Amino acid sequence: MIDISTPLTFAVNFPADLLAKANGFRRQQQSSQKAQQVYLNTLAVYAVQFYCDCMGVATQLSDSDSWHPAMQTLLDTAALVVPGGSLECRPVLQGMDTCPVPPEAIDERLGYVMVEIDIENGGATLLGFSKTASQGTLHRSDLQSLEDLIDILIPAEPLPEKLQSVVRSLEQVPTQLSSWLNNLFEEPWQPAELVLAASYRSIASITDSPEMTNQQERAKLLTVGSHSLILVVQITQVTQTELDILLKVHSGVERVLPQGLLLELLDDDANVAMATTAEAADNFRALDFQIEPQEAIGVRITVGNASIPESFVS
Amino acid sequence: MDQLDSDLKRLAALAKQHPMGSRARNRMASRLLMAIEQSGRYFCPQKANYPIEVYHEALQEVRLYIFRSLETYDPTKAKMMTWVNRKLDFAFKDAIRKYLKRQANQVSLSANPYGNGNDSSKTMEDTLAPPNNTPLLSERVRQIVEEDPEDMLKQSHLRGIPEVNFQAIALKTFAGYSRREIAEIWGIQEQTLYSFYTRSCKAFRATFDQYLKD
Repeated sequence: MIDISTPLTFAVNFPADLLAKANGFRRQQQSSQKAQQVYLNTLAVYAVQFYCDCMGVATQLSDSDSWHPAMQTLLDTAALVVPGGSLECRPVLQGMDTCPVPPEAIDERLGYVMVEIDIENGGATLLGFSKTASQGTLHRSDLQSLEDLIDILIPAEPLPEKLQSVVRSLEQVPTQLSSWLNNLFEEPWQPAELVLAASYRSIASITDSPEMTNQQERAKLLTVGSHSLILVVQITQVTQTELDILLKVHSGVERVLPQGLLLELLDDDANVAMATTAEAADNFRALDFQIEPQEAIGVRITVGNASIPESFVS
Repeated sequence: MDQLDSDLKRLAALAKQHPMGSRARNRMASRLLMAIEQSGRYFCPQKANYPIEVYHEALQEVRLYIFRSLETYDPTKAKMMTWVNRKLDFAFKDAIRKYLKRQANQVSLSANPYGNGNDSSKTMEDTLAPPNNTPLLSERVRQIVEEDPEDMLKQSHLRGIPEVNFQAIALKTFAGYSRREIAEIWGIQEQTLYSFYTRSCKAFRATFDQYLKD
């Protein structure tokens, strides 16, 4: 089983035209120390630029100081222009845990990527990302995972979508649970294990996959206030008329739920019929209940001042 | 073996759930690629027959492909590494073609005096690089700074302190002084000095381009 909680890194290798470019830049420098600096900076910038390219993030090498011979002469620059600003792509050689960040690279950077260069094997690895470079040094141990770089480069889901889901929850088109037993699922309900696995940290024991054909389980992501949560709903046809519902709330990003999270089941009159609260270090909270056909139920998840309603109909 | 394939397929499925270019997609595609790299299961038996840059070029193509063309992978038809290595095979052949073409284009070359022996492939641009008696670009930049033909570089200075000007800072940099030393000479904060210097560099970039063209 692949552990998706380890730090994300990204490997590249150097094609011939890149090496020619780097050598071309290097040869323009009189001082050998400067020549080496320019060479490594070029390789590091290429590595990050390539990653951006893979992800569909626009870059402008031609506009970047690091790709400009006069700027290379005047500055120690490994800047890459990306949407919203510049990334500083600092090279380290293997075995080095820190790299200096020159003062000219400290201003106006979206962040710093540490790139380990393996000259002998013709490749490099993006080790991680940092928003800041305290006092002119980047420490390997301070690096965040590249996921943070992805978040800097790519905006979150566009606002209209977010507004839509707010509107949707206000309108509250209830989720049709009976159609689940016929294998019909609407967006955004996904197989539970996929939703849980897609959050950063892998959760040791994911839900049990439904064993019986009269049982179905789905999950979706929710945001309550600033908290990312996952709501898992498992339904079981107990008898012809009775449907058992198991609702579980997990955290979307941490192992434990926000303390004080409240999960409530509401009846027709919006009175609270059942409730459960997250204590410290709870991995999940659950409510288990039965409903009849054509019954409508309301669920409310509250964290602090924010709450989200969910409604279902059997 | 199967565990790897099922893990890779799972990551691919997770990636495909999200639209191309989205954060989640890129996270999952990155994880998928990392798992592929760490498996060590790239297969390219001919790679030693050519300079290693040829294989490296093919690998880069494969990486792009995994990010951009995951939709074309059908997990019911083939194992993940089979699909990847099929692409690697195509990409490698492509890279060989390009390499051979470059070799053919290098008609008559004087040995590039600045080249290091490890350069197995040179671009045309490279081989037309300055012969012995043309100054290096760094030297031309230095000369422009020293001469400051239009006095512009001297006139760009820290507010109220004309002696802390772009030309002076650049000359000291060329002379080998460290950042700290330069800042100490004038009793200025390193950061302040370099913020100014960097901004000036950017402001003069077009100017240098102009001078260097002649």
